[in-house]
Amino acid sequence: MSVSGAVLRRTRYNDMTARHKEWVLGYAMLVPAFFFIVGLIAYPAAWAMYLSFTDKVIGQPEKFVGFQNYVWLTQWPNFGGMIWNTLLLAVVGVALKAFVGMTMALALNEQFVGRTVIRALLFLPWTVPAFVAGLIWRWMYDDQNGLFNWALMGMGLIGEPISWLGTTTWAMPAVMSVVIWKGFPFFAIAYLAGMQAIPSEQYEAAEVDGASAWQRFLYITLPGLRHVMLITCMLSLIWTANTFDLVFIMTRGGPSNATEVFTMLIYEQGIRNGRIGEASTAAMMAMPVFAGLIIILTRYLQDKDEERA
Amino acid sequence: MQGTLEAPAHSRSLLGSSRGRTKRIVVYATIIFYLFVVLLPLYWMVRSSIAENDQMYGTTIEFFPKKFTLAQFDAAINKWKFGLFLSNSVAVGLVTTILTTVMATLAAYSLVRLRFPGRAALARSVLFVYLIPGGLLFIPLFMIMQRLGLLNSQLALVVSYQTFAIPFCTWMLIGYFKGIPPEMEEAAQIDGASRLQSMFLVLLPMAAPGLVAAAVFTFTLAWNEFLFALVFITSESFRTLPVGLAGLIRGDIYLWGPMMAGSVLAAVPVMVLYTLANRMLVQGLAAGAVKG
Repeated sequence: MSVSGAVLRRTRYNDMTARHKEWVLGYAMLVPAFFFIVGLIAYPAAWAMYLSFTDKVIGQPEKFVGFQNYVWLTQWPNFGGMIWNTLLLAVVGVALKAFVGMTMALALNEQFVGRTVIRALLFLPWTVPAFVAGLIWRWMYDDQNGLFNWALMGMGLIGEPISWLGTTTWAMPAVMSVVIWKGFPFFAIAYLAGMQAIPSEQYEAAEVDGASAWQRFLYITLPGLRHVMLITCMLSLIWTANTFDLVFIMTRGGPSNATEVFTMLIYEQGIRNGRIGEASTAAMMAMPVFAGLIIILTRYLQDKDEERA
Repeated sequence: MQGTLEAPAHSRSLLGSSRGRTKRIVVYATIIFYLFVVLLPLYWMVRSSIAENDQMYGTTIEFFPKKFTLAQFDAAINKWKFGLFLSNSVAVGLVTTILTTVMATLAAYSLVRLRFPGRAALARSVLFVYLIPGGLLFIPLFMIMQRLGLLNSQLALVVSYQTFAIPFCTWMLIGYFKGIPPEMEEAAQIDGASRLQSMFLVLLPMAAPGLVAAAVFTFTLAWNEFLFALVFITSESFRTLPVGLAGLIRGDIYLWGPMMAGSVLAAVPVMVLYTLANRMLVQGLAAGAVKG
């Protein structure tokens, strides 16, 4: 009895020190990564909040101005337009990416000759760097020598070249076409993987019951894909609302602010005009929206992850 | 691993078998349409990179040019400093990748294999931080770089790229390490190996494919990055590819030939790497999303 008691006590003692050792090692291994995460994300975020209440201009000391920047920004003539452009690009862009991705996944889920090769080809836009996609499309949309004007005029559909990126009517659709072209394969990949995880018995049973193809899509495929759809749409919403390189390369926010999105505004104010205070304010006003999206998505992904384990 | 995206041989059809022919026509038409939309811009990039100038500008444009030239590549590399941008991009990408992979490996191991208070919250914060868009951060990062005297140096890029590279790489490795059963490492520890020995000698060799994929993706993230590279670098000699190439867009002179040649050189390595490593990423994503 006394022997086993001593052993028990010893083990417990060893457990305790082993556990504390594990704690120390665990935290120690996180130090390098979290040094950067805190130093380059948490600290700058806090600093940006402070700067948004100052009149900071590059190269000059700042002074506290309260909510002056916030008032200035909301009264800025193009404030509504900028929010509208960002929302339009993000919401319509994501909806179209999801739609196109879904149709492509449905087609790729069928049997046909050369499927593996064709699938790899269809996923290529996802692998193209965004700046390259922006350059290619800007070149195709070029008003003097671009492919689109050349083809449309050659076919006699238009009489004279259209300035796609230079008119307020066409600039946003042109930018959005690139966003969709580059982004939809991500949706297609995810949806295809999701479709193949749906048990085929469900489809067989539905077919026996006489469900039409549309009904099977509506009552089996769509519900089976709801997690994938939610995750891809939210991820893409965050990314698309934050588009910078495509807009910068194709239009720089123009013509007359027709494609001005919030990242362009921050860049123009903060870097071009050196007005750090106002730029930080724009970032701060976008922060709650992104934080909300990210918190929901992170929770959701984490829950899924724990269910899996 | 490889088979997850393949449909099983007895793959059911979503569109029904009764009207097989109509369905097949719709499927083929959809595929052909998407192939056209996807490949047209890529074809136009390649075509423009090897076409002669008189087939690019003016009235003599030909969709399939009859003559090819390497003059655009020559101009991109020798006249427009493409070689310089390329070497800058490679340097920044490699240093970023090495730094990130080391730190992320340590962090992911800790978050997956070790038990300590706050572990779950820290693991969640990794994903949270990865999703914070760079557009919100670049102004204060600019101020930090200025204060540290790093503006206009490649160090500014290596340091700022950690903001997305570390969380991304850690998140990917967490998923990968979780998929490897811990029994082998436990056996090694019973045989007297230390924690770190079991990690370096047992886990990491088994996780090699995941490490390679994480490193590849980290490299491509750095390679493609535009915003920080635009803002933190002001002199041409430190520019990386994305900003260097975009800088060739000039109002009155047409440089689309060299720009498309540069685009080919910038895009092809990344596209090959991505296509090879893509399965890993999709699997991680799909595993979390689909099996819920």
